[in-house]
Amino acid sequence: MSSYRAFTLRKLQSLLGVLPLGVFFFVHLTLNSAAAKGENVYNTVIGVMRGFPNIWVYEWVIIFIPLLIHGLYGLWIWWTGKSNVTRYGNYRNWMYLLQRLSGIIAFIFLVYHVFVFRYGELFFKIPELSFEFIALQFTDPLIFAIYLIGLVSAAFHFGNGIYTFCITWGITVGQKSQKFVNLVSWVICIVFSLYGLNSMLAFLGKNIF
Amino acid sequence: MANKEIRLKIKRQDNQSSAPYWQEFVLPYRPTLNVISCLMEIQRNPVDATGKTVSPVIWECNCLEEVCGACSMLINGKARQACSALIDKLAQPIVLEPLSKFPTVRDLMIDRTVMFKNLKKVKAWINIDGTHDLGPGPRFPEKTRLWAYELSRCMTCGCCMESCPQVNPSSKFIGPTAIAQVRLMNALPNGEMDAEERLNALMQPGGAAECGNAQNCEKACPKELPLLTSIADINRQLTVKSIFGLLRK
Repeated sequence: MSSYRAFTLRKLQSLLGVLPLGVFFFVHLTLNSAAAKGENVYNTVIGVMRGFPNIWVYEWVIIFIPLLIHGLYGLWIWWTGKSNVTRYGNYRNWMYLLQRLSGIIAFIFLVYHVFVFRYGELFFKIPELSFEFIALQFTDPLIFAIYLIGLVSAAFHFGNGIYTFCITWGITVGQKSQKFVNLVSWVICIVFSLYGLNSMLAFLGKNIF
Repeated sequence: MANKEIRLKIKRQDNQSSAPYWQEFVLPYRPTLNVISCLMEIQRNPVDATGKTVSPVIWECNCLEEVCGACSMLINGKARQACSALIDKLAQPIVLEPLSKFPTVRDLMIDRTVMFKNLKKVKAWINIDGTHDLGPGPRFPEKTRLWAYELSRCMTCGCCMESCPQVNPSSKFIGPTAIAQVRLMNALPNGEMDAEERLNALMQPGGAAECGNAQNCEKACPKELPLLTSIADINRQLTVKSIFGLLRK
């Protein structure tokens, strides 16, 4: 019996991480960066985004459904692997473990993040999302720390995910090209983390750029 | 290292279903021994460190020059061949265990049938024989031969399978060996004709897509096969086959 289901799911899982999720991650950080321009600009930007007709269709098709497939199938992948870094402490073997850990952390964080910041009004009677509300949330060091961990996990997972994506799809075949993408993946991880952190600090009026 | 003795700690198992246990052995030191010669010494005089006579330790070996792969075992936690593991270069006590990703037959002897089954699954051979003379095969570019030859040195020893986090009882992953052999067979001019079939086998559950990019295999491979490039190259062949195959329908 031949079945291409596992093959297709694996490839899809890998693709969804970059497109649309990775691209949306960048768009999201870009929208966040409006916070550096102050309360009015930020509230206008999210107002515009939320004002689009049928925005929920975009959200579900581009973000939530891909995220659920990527995350849930990712959990299955994590479940069927058995890390052995204690025996084989190679750099890539550590990255294999970190990719799974960061994925789980980011997934749990995103579920929390979406429920509070997107559906908070609907489920928890949390006030409508605004600069003021986020600023208030971030004054709690625990929430700030949760966001920072979630952000760095997602940035790492996306950066390293590009490295594995390029191998999984047969884009980088040789050692030189794989090494180059490894470098790119770290740049993405660091740049995304700093970009996101700066916006987070902007809500507290402490942004660097 | 002027050790007066050689200490070995061996994980033993009496049969396929019994529980494993540890035994220690102390041998008088001699220079230039390897793990196999120590095991032979234990076989000659099966007395453990406490002075008790025990059943001799069972292991497999063949060529004694790291080309057959039969004596693969975990030596100080790493999968390698016992014949090329020189005592003078190992930290003591030397811990010997059977490879953990294969069923243990007895002591250090394991059953690697799964690797041969996997090679059969992906048709890692070339159909050349007919009822009549097919003539000489096509010529082979030297540039391809350079890396193809490296892949042909695989001895199915199992070190890559042992080091791979994706090879374990809850996964069906076929492992780096079979994937690398598909790359080799597909690159040979007279193996190319069946390339599609081999790729098809690698698209089944447990196929090439289940590689997790932990990249231990290439480091663990005693024959230094280019496994990482081979897996990535097969991924490329699979991408081309799956996407363009779909578009041709």
